Amino acid sequence: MSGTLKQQQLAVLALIKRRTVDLGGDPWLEQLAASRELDLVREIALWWRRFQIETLCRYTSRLLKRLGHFDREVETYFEANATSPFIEQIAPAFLESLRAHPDPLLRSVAQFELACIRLREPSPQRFRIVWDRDPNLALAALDSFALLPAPDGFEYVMQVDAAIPGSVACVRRTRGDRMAVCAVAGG
Amino acid sequence: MATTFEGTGAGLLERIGPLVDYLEVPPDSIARTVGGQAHLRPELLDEIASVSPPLKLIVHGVGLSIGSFDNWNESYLHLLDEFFDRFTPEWHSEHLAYTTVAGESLGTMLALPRTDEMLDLICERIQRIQKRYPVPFLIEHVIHLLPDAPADYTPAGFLNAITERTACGLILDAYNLECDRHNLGFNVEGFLNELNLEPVRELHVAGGTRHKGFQLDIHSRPTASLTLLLALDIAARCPNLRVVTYEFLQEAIPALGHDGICDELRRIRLAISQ
Repeated sequence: MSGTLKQQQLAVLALIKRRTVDLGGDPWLEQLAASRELDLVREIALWWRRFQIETLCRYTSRLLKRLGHFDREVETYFEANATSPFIEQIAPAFLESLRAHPDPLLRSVAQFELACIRLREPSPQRFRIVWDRDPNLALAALDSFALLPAPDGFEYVMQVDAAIPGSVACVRRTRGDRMAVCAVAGG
Repeated sequence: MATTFEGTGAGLLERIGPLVDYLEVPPDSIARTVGGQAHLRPELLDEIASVSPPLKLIVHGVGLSIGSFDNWNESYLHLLDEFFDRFTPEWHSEHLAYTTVAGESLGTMLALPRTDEMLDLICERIQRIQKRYPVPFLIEHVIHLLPDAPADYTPAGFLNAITERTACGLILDAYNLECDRHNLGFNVEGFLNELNLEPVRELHVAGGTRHKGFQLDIHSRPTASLTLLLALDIAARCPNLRVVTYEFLQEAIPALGHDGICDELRRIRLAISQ
């Protein structure tokens, strides 16, 4: 394989993803880098990613929109990561990327949706997700576009496991002290 | 007459079945990822098999990325293998484009540079596909979103070279040509005059939207009258044309509506029968 085609396609990928790239003085690549058509391609690519993530990660997308971060998070993720051509592989990878997000509710919602996706796999794993507020109320608020509940001083420890009836169970407790059990609708 | 089936729209298949002769199935769209590997969804294969009377099937890929410098998308071929395990389509096809680079998705589909280097790469891959599957293989030109890279061939000359070397078939897309005419001032008449139309087996029609002055190949609308007129002109010139396919995205079904899709199929069939 000559370097020309390889360099050209790698440069196009880098330009679409806004990554640093040496255009090597190639006049076509330099024309491309400054073109409005490149902006359009970026916009189309991001539109599709946003649409796919909204479809497959409903709660996380709604929460990100409420936080005003949806477009930025999708763009940052798409540009920084090697995304799969298969839509169903994009959603779990995106949710995984939010595991260390500074917003605790977003972390919990994303992990919950990821767990629900993983439940459908042939060898589902078990997940433990800690919430800082009642997940029933948080998910219902996202469903109905209502006000989100605030942290209430309790810790909600959710188990997502295909072996549990309904696949989801949740325990409410103060630190180090089990207090109550609440049921959570499965995803 | 054919139309797209991407596995969504409850009850849609039984509505469109009586209105078409062929069903166009994109394997990528009826797949589900299980354990990190994409597989065709068996319930959708069952739904396709249950159409009565049976429709002829054509397979139209999106994700092969036949023009990637490093490799094509092997996962797409696994999907194709699964489809052929269950059905024998009349033919199968893919876009003359690339969607991945070094295994990473671009998030869109881009036209290939029309160079000798690309011609060699494409023809070798088409020949491998032709050996692997027992039905004809067709390629389809795509719209040009980016300025053309330096080329050794005209658009028609490149397609002629591919069909001459591999004997593969062609899909012409009237809507894609309309997009290129609108966005780039593409000379559609000159393209059709130069193109060898004998390998054209399938003709696509669709409708889309404009964004910031660009006509986009997002198949979300009924076919515009001008596109349909162009399609009729193309159809009259192609001696081996077998089917006209109305394409729409599954995401457009709520906006088009089942009634709208059925009306569109009747309208196109009427137009091409006259």
